[in-house]
Amino acid sequence: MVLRWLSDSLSQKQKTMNNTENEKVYRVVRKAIESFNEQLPADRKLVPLPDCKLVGSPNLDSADIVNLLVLVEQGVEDELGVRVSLFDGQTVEQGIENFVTVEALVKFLAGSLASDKSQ
Amino acid sequence: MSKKLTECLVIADFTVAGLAGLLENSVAAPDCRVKVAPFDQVAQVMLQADHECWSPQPEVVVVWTRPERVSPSFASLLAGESVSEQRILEEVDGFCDLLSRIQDQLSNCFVPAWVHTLPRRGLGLMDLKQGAGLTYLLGRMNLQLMQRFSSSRKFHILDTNRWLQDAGKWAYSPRSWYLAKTPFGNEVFTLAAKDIKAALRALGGITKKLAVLDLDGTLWGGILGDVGWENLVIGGHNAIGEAFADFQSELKSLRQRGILLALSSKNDEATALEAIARHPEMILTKEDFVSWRINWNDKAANIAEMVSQLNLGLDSVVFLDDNPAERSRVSEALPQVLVPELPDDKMLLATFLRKLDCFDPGFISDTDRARTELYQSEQERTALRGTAQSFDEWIQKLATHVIVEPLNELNWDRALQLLNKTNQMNLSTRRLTDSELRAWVVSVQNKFWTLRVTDRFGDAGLVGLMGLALDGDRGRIVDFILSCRVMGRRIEEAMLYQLLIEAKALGVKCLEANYIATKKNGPCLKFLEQAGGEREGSLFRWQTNQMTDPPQHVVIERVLE
Repeated sequence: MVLRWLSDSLSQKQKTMNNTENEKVYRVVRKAIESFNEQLPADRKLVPLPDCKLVGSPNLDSADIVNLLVLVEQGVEDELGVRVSLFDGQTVEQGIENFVTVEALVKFLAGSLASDKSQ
Repeated sequence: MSKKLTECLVIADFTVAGLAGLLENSVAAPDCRVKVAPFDQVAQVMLQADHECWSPQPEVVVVWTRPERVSPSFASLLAGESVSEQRILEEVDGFCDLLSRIQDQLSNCFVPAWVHTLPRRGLGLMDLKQGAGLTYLLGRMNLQLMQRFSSSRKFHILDTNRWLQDAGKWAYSPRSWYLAKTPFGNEVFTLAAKDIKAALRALGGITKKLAVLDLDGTLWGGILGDVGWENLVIGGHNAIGEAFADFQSELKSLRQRGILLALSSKNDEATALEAIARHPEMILTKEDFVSWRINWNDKAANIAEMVSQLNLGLDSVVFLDDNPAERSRVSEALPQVLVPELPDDKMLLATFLRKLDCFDPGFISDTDRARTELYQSEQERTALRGTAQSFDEWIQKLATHVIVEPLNELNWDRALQLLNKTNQMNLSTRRLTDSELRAWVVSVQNKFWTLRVTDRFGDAGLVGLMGLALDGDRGRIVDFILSCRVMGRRIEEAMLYQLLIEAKALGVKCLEANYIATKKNGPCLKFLEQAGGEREGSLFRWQTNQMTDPPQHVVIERVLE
């Protein structure tokens, strides 16, 4: 019974930590989008909600995606103190499923950060 | 009513879409519509006058290049080869010649100075040595570029290094370069956009003319009323004191290039003026200020009063006060006044002031440098008014002398400045770039004169402009402009009289002036209404065979071509 309580407690903490990590990453991504929006005309500005389309959006060309993702990388390093690479020697197209929406990007980043921490 | 958009074209050999978006989205004046030339087609676009990029014709062009793309020899140097400095400079000259080809297609061209595309250490110790150093040669390239366009009214070199410095950690973005051919971080483009807009405002004469300053906590440390002038913190062997002294020095240098300074402080006036006069470390003196309101009244009301007295607009004023409550009050009551948030840390005050772009000049004339003295002598004239029994007597005592001269190269810069920044006594408020004015005056049907004014208190400088368009026996006054500093002293009457004389000599029978109303040129309408002509709506007419007498007590001298 004690062991089960401990196991439940750890799971809960992990979930809380994951939610907190996700929130932190989401804040960084949102800030990067807001900064990037300063370059976009009014009719192309991104709304930084989880379902906001990124890769594949008709409002963003490949240079836009690169510049946005670089801003996210810089934000993660500045705010979370971790250096990440969203390109990792690959093109955006090769990792495309990770960047289709804001939610996908946040999940990918949070997962990367979590696996970095556990190593 | 839609705002006028300034058409801009950006030509670059790297990805600059970010700059275009930032220029368009920035709320700072002027509003811009930006087109980006095809990637890395710099020479092609500049050599083809009929390239689609040139339609609609841009007013402003930004040509942003990398040094190794402009100079193949510099590219060879980066690859470790030995090249001659002379060869590199010849290639820079070639680029400058290419730029000069487009001068008729634009009003202003901004060329960011060259920087390394990606950060590099270069040759370390040897990098600033002649013959081998990369940074040395980059400096020589930029010097050549700056010297070629130093006296140009159209081509302006911008300080890219300052953007990189201010952008900090992410100034360079090697990842963006390899992935998207954007060598710089977002912040560099943000700073570039800000500077380009500031430059456009400076060239358009839309800069701040007056800084209104608080005293306690702004020009010195300590509360004067509590500690006495002897214990104020200014200068000395004290970090904060030195910071305040530096801030005052920066303000003094602004004043020396034509920015007016005034005081608005909640203090006892006599005590404050004594502190200014007697504190040995004060950099600013009473003579540096054109006006002050040192009392316990509302600062917004004080500022409005001073600005009205100085015949300026509220939109030409900056208010600097360390007190957030006072700043908030003035911001709310006088939204046209710029009220920046001063840093709480006094050691950052001078740096903060140095970084403000609202005082950027398009150029600096002798009249600008003497502006404070000009306003002070204006106050002496006003004081004389108080001693005169009548307006007529005052004018007589002033002994005003008006000198009318055709527009020429010597008075060109000041005339252009006056044309573009005068609001109140301005018939049509047309704004022209240097090339637009040149195109206008070159026509034999168009005549343009300048007006200088002196009186017993000194030389007010070039303060008036008159532009006349001829159409058979009709003459249309296009420009009737007088500096607000000298309004209301019969100089307007002298201008109209002189225009009638000139028009008659040119065969004009009927002289017309069409008043175009703006928010600020009410004084011009008021003058026209009492100037004795016929009126039909906004159109005023005078017949040159019915000359009035010249204004009394004003001597008019006409300088021939």
